[in-house]
Amino acid sequence: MKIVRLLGLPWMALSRRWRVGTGISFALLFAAIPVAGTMKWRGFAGTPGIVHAMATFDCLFWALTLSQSLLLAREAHRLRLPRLGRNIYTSLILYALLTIALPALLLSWLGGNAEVALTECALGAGLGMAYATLPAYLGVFVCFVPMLSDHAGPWLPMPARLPDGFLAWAAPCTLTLWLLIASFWRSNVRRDLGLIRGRRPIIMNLRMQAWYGNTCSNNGEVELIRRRMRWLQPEVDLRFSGPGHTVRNLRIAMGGLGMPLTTSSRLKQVTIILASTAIPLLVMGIAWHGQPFLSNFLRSSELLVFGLSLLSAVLALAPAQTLRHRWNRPNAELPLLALLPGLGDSAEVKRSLLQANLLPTLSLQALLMLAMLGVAAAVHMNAGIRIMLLLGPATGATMLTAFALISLGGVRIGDGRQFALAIYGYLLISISVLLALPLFGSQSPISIPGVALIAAVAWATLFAILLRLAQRGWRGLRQRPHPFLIQ
Amino acid sequence: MNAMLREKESVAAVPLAARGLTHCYEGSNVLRGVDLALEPGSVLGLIGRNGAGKSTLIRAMLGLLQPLSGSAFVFGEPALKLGDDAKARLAYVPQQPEALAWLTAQQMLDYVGRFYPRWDTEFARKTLERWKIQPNKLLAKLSPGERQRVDLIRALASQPELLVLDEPAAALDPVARRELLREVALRAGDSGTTVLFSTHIVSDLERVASEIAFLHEGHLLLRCGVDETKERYGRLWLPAAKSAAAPAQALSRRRHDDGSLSLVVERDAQGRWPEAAELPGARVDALGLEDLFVEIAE
Repeated sequence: MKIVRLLGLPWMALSRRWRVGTGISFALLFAAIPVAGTMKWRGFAGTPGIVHAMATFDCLFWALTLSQSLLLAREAHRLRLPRLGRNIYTSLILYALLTIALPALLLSWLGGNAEVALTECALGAGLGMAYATLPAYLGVFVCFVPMLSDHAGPWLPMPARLPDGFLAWAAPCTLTLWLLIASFWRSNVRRDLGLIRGRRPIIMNLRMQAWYGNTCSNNGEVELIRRRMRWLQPEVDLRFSGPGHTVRNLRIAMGGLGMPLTTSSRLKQVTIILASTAIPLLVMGIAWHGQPFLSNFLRSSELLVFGLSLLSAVLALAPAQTLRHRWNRPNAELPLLALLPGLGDSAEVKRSLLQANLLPTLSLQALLMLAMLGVAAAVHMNAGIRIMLLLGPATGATMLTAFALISLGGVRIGDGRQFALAIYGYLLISISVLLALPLFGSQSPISIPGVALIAAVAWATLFAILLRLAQRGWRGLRQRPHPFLIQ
Repeated sequence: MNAMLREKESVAAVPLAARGLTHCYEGSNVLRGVDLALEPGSVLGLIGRNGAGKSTLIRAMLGLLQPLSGSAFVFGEPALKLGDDAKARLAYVPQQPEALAWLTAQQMLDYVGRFYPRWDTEFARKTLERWKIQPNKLLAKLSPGERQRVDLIRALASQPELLVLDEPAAALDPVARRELLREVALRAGDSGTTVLFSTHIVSDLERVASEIAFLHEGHLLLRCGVDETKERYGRLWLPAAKSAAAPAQALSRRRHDDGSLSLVVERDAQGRWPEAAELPGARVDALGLEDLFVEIAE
């Protein structure tokens, strides 16, 4: 097989849109590294920043692109195509030479430490690959690695300060990591898909949710329920349902986050969420071992409020997507609800639908907003920052309302556009809040008139689009004879 | 005014009626002015090829989608604005039901049952048992056939006066299919339930349907009693030399390589075949339901 075709192999598992987007992004990223190197040419040999950048690039590249080879390898195994299977391995080896060995060689030629560069790039690529191809419960720990590099300095030598010390622990760790990846790779290729979600590699879970190309898969949710362990399954509380309880009836029929649960099931879900939240705190605790935890935590308050602000906005996406799926399935809840007697008249059902779908998430967003404002008040953030922080929940609530209304009102808007709008909103929140926080010296960059003007225009555009969509959705919903019409 | 009143009275008498339904998806017409009405107690089998518009017609007739033009009525009420009374008398099972996947079969039946005044809990329990469906299993974890059966139980337990089934047997094994058809026939015979079901399995129609309606490319091509079809429709074969004399009215028309012509023709009001059938060399063959379907659909 020609080298070009071998190099193209991992990309074949991606949809065209994803392939183009990822290709361009990585090409730009890759181009940025030598540019940065050229700018710092004089101190280059002594600057481990370039190696670090290359390792980060490798991590992202292997996680997002080369890990896709696992899907191809699975298909090759299932379709009994051994030659394709072998080509996939050859292609990965080729990519390892190009993205790990070659940069290390170049860096050593330029005067850097070849062993450190090789180890760091291999570790970066391995972490990316581990995130995507190890079982999700292991892969998720890769997300905490940046924290280790920031906080574990006292007891874990980093390449910038102690290259030899770094090699002493990183080389065996990298080797073990790759052996682990190879072992799970082999079993993932051969095993049937009948695995529960936590044990499936993230790359396979993402594929199952059809994030690549089609975001409106009808079977994704059913598949998730099917794969979920029984004890993790939320158990619905059917009490107080039936005629006369329209909102509750609809919450049951819509499923998802707003579904009424039995007390034991609710407790179980809360415990799971708390346990998941405890993991980062535990990792932070380990990383700050021997240092005062609370003061460190409060020192990170900027990031905490930023996280809460962003989370309250991100929360809008899941219920909006759920609603979109409901209104895209002609054989599911729509006909059942449309013909169910005793739900109430059309106007009442429309009102109740909005309540059932919006209130649970809006309440959660309000809680997050209060928590965020509480932290902001505790660390004496000024009013300007607090207002910027409020943009997160405000965007989340508007986005949720707009997206819910366009689904309920039968407004046709492509998945891609909706997704792009959400990404635009989240980027805007991230940039605005980060620029407002005092992370870059005493003066917040957002207070510079030019920056403020650009931000204002960007925000006005976002809200104008969202409000226009909400208006169209509302009009569509009002005009519908009943809200459960199939498109 | 009088005409409107007459129309209102005429639709009130039938459980399900459609007038001039037209609908299109992405620019292509799926329904082209379909008129259809079901007599009380009848079992109408709606037959047509995949993509003929059967599901769309059913959805439009039940007010589940808004047609581009035309109107539909259920027990005399506009389908798009059904009241609780009409909804309680109606049950619909979609093709490949997917609703409420996060509930168990029992939870789903408990939940839905609360809304129907004549809900038969005992029937639901016994039928779940008879059809060997685990009541505590999540609907998402049932096979497509099991899921379809749970939805059929849901529909039947509400004791509907009008039962609408969209490809009810598509995911069922032969035994389950036979049981379903028996249940449908029983309901129609004993309780006088009106049934509309769509299918492309001709043998199912022959088993239970009293009437068939054939939908082809958005048009309702024929509508008659199942027993009537053999008598009423036939295949007229004309040799090449006589093909010019073929009748203009035919349900289908196919020219063979040797120039001869095959047409599906219908007897007139006096029970006579078209005149061309009398021509020398012409021949009329009887058509079974399946042959008739294939001849028209091809």
